[in-house]
Amino acid sequence: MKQTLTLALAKGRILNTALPLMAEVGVVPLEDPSKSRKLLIETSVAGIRLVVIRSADVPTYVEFGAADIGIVGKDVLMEYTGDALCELLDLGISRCRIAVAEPEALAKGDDPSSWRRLRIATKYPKITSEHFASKGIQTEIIKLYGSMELAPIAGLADRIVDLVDTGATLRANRLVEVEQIATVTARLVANQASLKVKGEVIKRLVGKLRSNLSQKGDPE
Amino acid sequence: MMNLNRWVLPEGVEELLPDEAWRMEMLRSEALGLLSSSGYELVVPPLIEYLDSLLTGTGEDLEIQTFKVIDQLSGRTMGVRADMTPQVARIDAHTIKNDKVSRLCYVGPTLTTRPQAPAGTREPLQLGAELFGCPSPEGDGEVIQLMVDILKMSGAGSIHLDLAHVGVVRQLMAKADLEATTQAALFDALRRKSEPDIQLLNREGLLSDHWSECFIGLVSMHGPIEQLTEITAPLSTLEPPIRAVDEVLTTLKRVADLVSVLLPDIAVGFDLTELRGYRYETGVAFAAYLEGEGEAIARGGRYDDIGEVFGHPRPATGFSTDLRRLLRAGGGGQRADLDVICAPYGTSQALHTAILKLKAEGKRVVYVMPESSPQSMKTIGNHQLIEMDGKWQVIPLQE
Repeated sequence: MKQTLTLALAKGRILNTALPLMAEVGVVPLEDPSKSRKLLIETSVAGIRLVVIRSADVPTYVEFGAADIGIVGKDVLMEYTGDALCELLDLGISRCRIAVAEPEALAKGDDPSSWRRLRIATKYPKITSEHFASKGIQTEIIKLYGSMELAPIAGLADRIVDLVDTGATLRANRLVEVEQIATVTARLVANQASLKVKGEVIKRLVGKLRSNLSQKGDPE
Repeated sequence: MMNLNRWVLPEGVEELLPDEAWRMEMLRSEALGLLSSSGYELVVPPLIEYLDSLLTGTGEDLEIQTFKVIDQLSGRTMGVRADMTPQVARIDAHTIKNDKVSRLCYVGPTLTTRPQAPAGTREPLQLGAELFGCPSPEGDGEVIQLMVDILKMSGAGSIHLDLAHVGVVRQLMAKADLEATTQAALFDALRRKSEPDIQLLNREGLLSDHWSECFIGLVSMHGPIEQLTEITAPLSTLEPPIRAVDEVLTTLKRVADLVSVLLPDIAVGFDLTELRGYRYETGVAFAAYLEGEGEAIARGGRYDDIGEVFGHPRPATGFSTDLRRLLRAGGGGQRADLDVICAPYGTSQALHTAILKLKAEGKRVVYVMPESSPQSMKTIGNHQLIEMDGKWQVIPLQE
């Protein structure tokens, strides 16, 4: 019996950087996911299909087994509460960082070692509270879904925890990065049951991706 | 004011309606029948116990999963069982207390504080079998066969059996001699087969290059059982050599050989870093997966000496499954499609005798109450019991 493998891809940045990686191992979508309105897309490899979904939904799809494998940022995995995903590979793409930022004015003369209680706006409440709890700092977290940079300007929070790539958005809003929490890259995750039942197909795909990555050299 | 949300059940709690409930009951009794015919005696452990005895010898994970209440009579904390296996192990160690091989089976509701799988139940109907007093792989073979037979009986197709062994990870962790926090982080990374996270521990200086390489090698040691020797070959070149690793591989091989003879039609794989869902296992562990199910459908393994805390250490192996999930995955038992006979409600002794006789023959007889119209009979059944020539007789209902 020919098994089908469903790969969940996070929309946006990751999709754009992951498609070339998949193309290198011979998996090319039959329709352009950024143009097609279809959510389920067949690929050049019979039996491998793509679902293109919001990044925060990727772990959910994979944990339920609705997708066998997925490509998603480590930030989303760190924020996800389930622990049933296997994290097979660091793809080294979509590299950025999760950082604490604050207004320039506040940063002058601010000493992170004197922090006691912080009011932070973020879309990563779990990462934020775990990070500060490990340093013994109390936090009051305001969960937002976008435009984090506005929060300190509008007086909603003193600081933000957000994904930082080039830092251009921070600079444009007169915010400075004061602390880095983690480096983020895209990861290949797999459902634990799929890894058993469809182990051979997944292993072959992972093997090809891995050897391509090592040829490019260590992402570090 | 009527509360419109009054019908809402708590998350992970459900009721079974007539058809499903019957199929579940059929599945339950067929499974128990199979266990009984294999020499397993039924035990019924209590639903609720003092927490300290309920959790003795089990891990922290089970404590988090256990609902707790205060006993109004003694003032002590009681727990509602989240897993019946430790209870059955205690029954064997404390109550039965002999050195003969004993085979016990059980079925009953359990409660877990959180669903075991996403959107899963918090009220699994656990069915399982435990074999005490047999330390050899043949014991594991017997239990695996029973587990697979029950899955097949439920209608589940294309079963994948995964064999694991906690020994390799434990031995290597012990040799690596790590700080407690590093050990926890490494254990977590191994559970998720996360090569990147092991590399991170190495970059942070918490794990040496040697051990990092070794554990990274370990996470990819899974695959079809036929490739066990090939895939695990790097373990034989470990420096310093770890003797226990050879024992583990020999045991896995032996169990796999037994299984392949007994169950030639199912796919068997192995996994040396499968640590998920095993709470007290000490040796071979196994799980059954079905295609399309994101989680194992049944699991078990060897947990020798769990009875030690009750004064009677014993070799033990067993499996359990959740009948609610099995019912969904396999379809469960089929209820015989019986004819339904409509009978008038009456005080005639002859009518009563006729009805009892039909029921004894396995027929289903339903009273038609005086306020029901004769037409309504067709919604109840397909036959009727009427008096003809002074005798009660069954005739088909007219269209």
